[in-house]
Amino acid sequence: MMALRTFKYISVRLSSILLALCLSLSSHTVSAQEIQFGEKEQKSVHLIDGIAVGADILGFGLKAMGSDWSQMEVMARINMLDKYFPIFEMGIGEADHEGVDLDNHFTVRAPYFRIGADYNFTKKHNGNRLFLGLRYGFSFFNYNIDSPTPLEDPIWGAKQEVNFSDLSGNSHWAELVFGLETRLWSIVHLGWDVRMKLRIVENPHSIGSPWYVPGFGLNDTTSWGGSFKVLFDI
Amino acid sequence: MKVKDFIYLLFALPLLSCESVTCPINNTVACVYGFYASARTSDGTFVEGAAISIGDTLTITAMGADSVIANRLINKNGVSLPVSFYGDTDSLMFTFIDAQGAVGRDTIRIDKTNRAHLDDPSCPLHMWHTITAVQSTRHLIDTVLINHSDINYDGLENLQIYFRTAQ
Repeated sequence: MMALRTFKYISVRLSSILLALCLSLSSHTVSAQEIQFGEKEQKSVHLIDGIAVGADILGFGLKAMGSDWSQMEVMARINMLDKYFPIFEMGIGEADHEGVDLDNHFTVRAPYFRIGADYNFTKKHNGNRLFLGLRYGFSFFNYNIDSPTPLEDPIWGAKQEVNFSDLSGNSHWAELVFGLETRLWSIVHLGWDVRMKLRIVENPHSIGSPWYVPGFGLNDTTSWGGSFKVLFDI
Repeated sequence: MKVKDFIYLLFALPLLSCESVTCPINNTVACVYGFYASARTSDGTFVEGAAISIGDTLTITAMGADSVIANRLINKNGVSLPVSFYGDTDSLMFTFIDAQGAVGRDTIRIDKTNRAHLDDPSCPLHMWHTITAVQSTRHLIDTVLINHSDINYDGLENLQIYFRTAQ
């Protein structure tokens, strides 16, 4: 239990430091972009100013690095007046996690969906954007819990294998999104965002809540996340 | 500088969701029994009484496992007892020995369902239960009532044992 408390303390501290680092980098990135792209040629805008599709590279990176969980995501969005960006995101979230100090094993692989919109705060129409957005996300999923160690009754003596498959659950959440985006060249945009996620409702299986919710992240009432995405105007 | 910022964030963002394990501190699963007095009216109607302490020495044995799960309790107004993980029915023998050495016994039979519960893969797996029925012999015990049928961590009183008391 002491080890768990220490781990929790370190995790919270690390999160705080990284968040501070992230916020400082955010402001730095804004100023850098303003200097670098401020003189770019501006274009006229229309009510429907284009459609873009893209993918989140971060999820693929997490999977390649062998993270316990990752989510591979694609998105499509409409550019309205270069100000409003209705967006649809969908992906596959997966996790393969073993407990700390215990060999309980959790796995899940399921799709998730988000719908929402971003608002672009920048005045210039040069492809560089600063976003604030909202999302509604949901996922219906089946997850598995197993352990190589049977659970033994210490008094009555019986033991049974721990193998619970296809436990159904679903989760619904909201996200507050802050992000930056720049046009690299022609139709290619590169951007990142930070997301605060708030659980709206969770319906887990009676055996227990999932360790990870596809699209939401590690299961809690709140979660932090982000994406690093490449978008193409079509 | 812009590319450098993106690279920093590429590594920083996944770490923002570092795991914190929050296993419940009180994770003992036990069936909580409360002891009560009872009475019968002249027409035999059961009357619930107040909480009491048992003055006799009480020993409780899990039948089938032949294990003593509570040994020589004195002046207790309740007891928390383990529940079998997988059995559909638990039978417990309550043995009372008074100050003069007289022995009285009662058996309580609890029918239940069982289900596993896991808070987090880093927490131990537990078995939770739901009491579906309870029966007892009636030597010293008059009646056993189900107060809360779910047996989990919450520590609520699950069963109320009403003992025969002097009229």
